[in-house]
Amino acid sequence: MTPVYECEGLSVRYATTIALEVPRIEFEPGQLVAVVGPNGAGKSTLLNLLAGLQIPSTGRCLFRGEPLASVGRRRLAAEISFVPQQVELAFPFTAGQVVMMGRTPHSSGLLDTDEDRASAESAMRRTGSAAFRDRDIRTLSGGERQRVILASALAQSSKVLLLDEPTAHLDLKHQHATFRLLRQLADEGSLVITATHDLHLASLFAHRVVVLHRGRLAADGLPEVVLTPDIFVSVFEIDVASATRYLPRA
Amino acid sequence: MTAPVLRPALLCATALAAALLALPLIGSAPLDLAKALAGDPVHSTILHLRLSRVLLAALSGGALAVAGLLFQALVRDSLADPYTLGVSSGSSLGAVISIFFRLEAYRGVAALAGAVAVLSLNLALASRGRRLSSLTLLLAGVTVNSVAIAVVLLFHSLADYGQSFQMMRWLMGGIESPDYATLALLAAVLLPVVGFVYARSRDWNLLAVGDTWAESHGVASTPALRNGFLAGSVLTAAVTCLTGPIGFLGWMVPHALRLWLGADLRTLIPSAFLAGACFLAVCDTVARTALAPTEIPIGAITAILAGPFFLWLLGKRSRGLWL
Repeated sequence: MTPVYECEGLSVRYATTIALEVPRIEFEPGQLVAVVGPNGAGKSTLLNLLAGLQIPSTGRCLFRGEPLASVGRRRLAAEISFVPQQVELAFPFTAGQVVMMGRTPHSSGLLDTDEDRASAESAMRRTGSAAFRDRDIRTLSGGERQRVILASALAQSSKVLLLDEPTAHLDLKHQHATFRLLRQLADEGSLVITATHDLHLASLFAHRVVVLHRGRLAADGLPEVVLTPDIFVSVFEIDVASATRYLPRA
Repeated sequence: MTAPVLRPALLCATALAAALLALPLIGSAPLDLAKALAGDPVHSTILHLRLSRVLLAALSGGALAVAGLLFQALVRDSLADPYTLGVSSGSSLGAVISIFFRLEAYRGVAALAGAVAVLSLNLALASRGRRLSSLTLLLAGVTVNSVAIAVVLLFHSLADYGQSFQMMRWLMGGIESPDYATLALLAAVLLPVVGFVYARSRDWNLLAVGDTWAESHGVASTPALRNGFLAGSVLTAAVTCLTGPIGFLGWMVPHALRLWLGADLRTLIPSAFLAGACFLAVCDTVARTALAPTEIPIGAITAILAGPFFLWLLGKRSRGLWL
């Protein structure tokens, strides 16, 4: 299968600090990939690079065989949806308007088309955010807002979804619903890469887990292969007894 | 999104049309419309003087409201207005310098030069390499604004009594009756820029959420910010050169419309232009008639209206939301 991303020699440095250093990594379609690691491990940096929002200090990524840096902003947005860690709005946009913004890469005029409306409606239904359609997004709870942002990404109708901690503000029910949805999207053929601190959800739903530690690739593979006591101790710095509750069960 | 754009815009257009028809008939000097239309020189002159003044107020109000809306979106600050980024202070500095050196004939050109200088300085300060960010744009704008105001005060303190009076009149803002060629030139500058701002309203919506949000939705934030800043500055500078700075309208009209119509700039921009035009035309008529034959500076009228409005907004903020 042709990879969606092929990256080589990637590094991001801030002065003397190495934020990310990954010699080689590939991502294929039809996979839910969980990127895990402690705070500051380089998860968000990796997502930003893959979204084309940040330029690496060294190395490059090919996106569907083309250098990522040479793909135009609008085409990238039509092919890649990006869900940031947090979105703070200064103005009273309704949830429906925020979801509709996801249609921008597909719009040529100022008015919403029937296709735009259908796509936004379907995205809101899938994320359970249709009930908030007419509410000022700033009046929603963190979890509700997160679902609206996810709906906006789905409305973008792209085959690559990059998410930075999408379950950060969600309750247990919606955490599971979100990961179930991400898995479903991957099973339908999309590439979904999500940064997460929830190793339990990663082990339950992800096809593949990428572990980053201090900007470097510590492990990469199937959840049951990657999430071992050794990784919990060496990367997450917790004792073996605590680690066992996160270990994937066969 | 068809109906939400049309309905408020039609309402505002109706109000503006009514204002443009009615306001030239109001004034301290008696005007017989039938005589004016029949070509009576006195009545015809009064009508033309008032009409050109109302049209200047309308064009200026519309442009300032759109510029305010745009700057608020670009810097994601609902308190921003056309003057936050210093363009108007640059314009004032140019005008004050021309008055100080007794070059009043070149006041308009000097005001334009001041605005262009500030605009260039802001863009240079806010650009880090090839990137432009909203925050640095705001910081650069506020700093340049403060420096320009300080230099205006310096020239004012060195000026003689007559110059000082002229400077104060300029700084308070005021609308006079221009000739139709000037009006046509102003419209030729402003209307295409307003059209451009409206055509890009999806981009400003995305930038109003955030630079990264805009980038991830296909809008390159640096050129979009630069274009938005240039468009808003052209609107502000073109108006300020003719009228001097007119405060408060540029944030009050966007605020009021946002309360009514929400935050989508595709809906707000046409309504802001029409409502701003109507609002300033009415304010100017109040300014020239309320204490006739004495004219109240138009900036005082907009400020008197803006004060209570701002206090009311503060009340809303204390209830948890800031529009």
